[in-house]
Amino acid sequence: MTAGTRLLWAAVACLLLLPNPSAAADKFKPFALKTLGGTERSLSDVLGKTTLVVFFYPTCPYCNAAFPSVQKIYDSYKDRGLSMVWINVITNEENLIAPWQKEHGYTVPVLLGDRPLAASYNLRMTPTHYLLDAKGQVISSHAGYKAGDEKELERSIRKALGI
Amino acid sequence: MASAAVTLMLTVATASLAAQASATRDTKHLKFSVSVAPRVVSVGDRITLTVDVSPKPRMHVYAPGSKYRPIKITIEPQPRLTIGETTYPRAESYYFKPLKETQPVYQAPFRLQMGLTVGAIEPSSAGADSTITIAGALDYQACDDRVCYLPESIPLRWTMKVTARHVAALEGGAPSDSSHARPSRGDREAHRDRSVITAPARRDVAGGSR
Repeated sequence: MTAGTRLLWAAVACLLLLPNPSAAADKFKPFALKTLGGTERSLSDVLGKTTLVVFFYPTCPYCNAAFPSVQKIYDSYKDRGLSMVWINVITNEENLIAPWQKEHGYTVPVLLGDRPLAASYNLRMTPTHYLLDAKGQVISSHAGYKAGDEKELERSIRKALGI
Repeated sequence: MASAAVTLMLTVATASLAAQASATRDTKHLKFSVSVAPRVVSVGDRITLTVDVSPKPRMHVYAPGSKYRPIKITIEPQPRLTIGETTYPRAESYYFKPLKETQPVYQAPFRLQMGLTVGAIEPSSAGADSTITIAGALDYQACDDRVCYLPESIPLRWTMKVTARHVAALEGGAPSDSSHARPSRGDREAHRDRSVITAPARRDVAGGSR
C-alpha cells in the first residue's frame, strides 16, 4: 500500500467517525431563558410529551393573527401532554408582553429571548414554531401564518400525542 | 483698539456627490438610497437627509399611525447636531385580513426626509479642520402576505468635512464677537467660497465603513 493510499483510507476512516450532521440537526438546540418573573427555564424544563416552541414578538401582526388559535390548542391539549412556550425575540418589546397577555387572555408561558438567540436559530421571520417530541427532537417546523394553518398544527399535535 | 479679528467661517462639505447619489442598500425586504443636500453648507444651515425606499414585491412596511412599528430614521444625538422631524408621504391603507384591520403602510417606492443642522465647532478646536460623523439608522418592520420579518435597524453613517478659515479683519477692527458684526470683507469672501468643496469627505451608508 502506497503512502498516498494509506492517507486516503485514513481520511475515509475519519469521515466515518464524524457524527451524522443530519441527525444532529433534528435535535432542537437547547436554551436557558428567563421568564417574565425572572425564573430561568431550560428546554428540558419545558419538554412535555409533545412541545410546541414558538418564536414571536408582541407587535408581530401574524403572531397576533395566529395566537388566539394557538392558545385554544394549548387549552385543549395541555392536560394531555402538550407543553408550549412562546419565546420573545425583540428585547425592547419585553415591557409590552404582560399587558398584551392580559389583553388577549394568553396563558401560554413566555420566555425572554433576544436577537442573538434568534440568529442562533437562524430565525428570520415570525411566527416560527417547532414541534418537538419528548426527547426534544424536531417533529416539524413552520414559519408564518395563513388561515387554516391552525388546523394543520392541531392535526400534527394530535398525531404527536397519539390522540 | 485697532486689531485684527479672526472670523471663522466654517464650511461643511459633504462627500463627493456621485458617490452619494449611488449610495444604495439592498436588504431582503427593500432597497433604499440615502443622499444629503446641500453639498456645502455653513454652520447653522439646514441639511436635508433624503432616504428613497423601494419595498420589494409583496412587501410592505408600516407608516406612522400604524399600531405596528413604523419605518423611521433615527439619528444618534450629539451636541453639534440639531435633529428635525422626518417628513413622510401619504400612506396606503392595507387591509390585513387575518386580523380584520386596516393599517397605513408603504408598498410602493416612497421618500422620507429629515432636516439636520450642524452647529458650531467647539472653541478649542476652532481654526482647525475637523469632521463631523453623523450616525443613525433606518428602522423598519417588513411583512409580506404571510409572514413578518424581524424588525430591522440598518445603520447609516456618514462623515462631513468641516473646514475653518482665518479671515483678516476689516480696517478699523471688528468686535470680538463676530456674530454681531456686519459682514466683513472676509465674511463676504468666505461666503463666496461656500460653493467650493474644500476637501474631499467620506460618507458611508448602511454601515459601509465598518
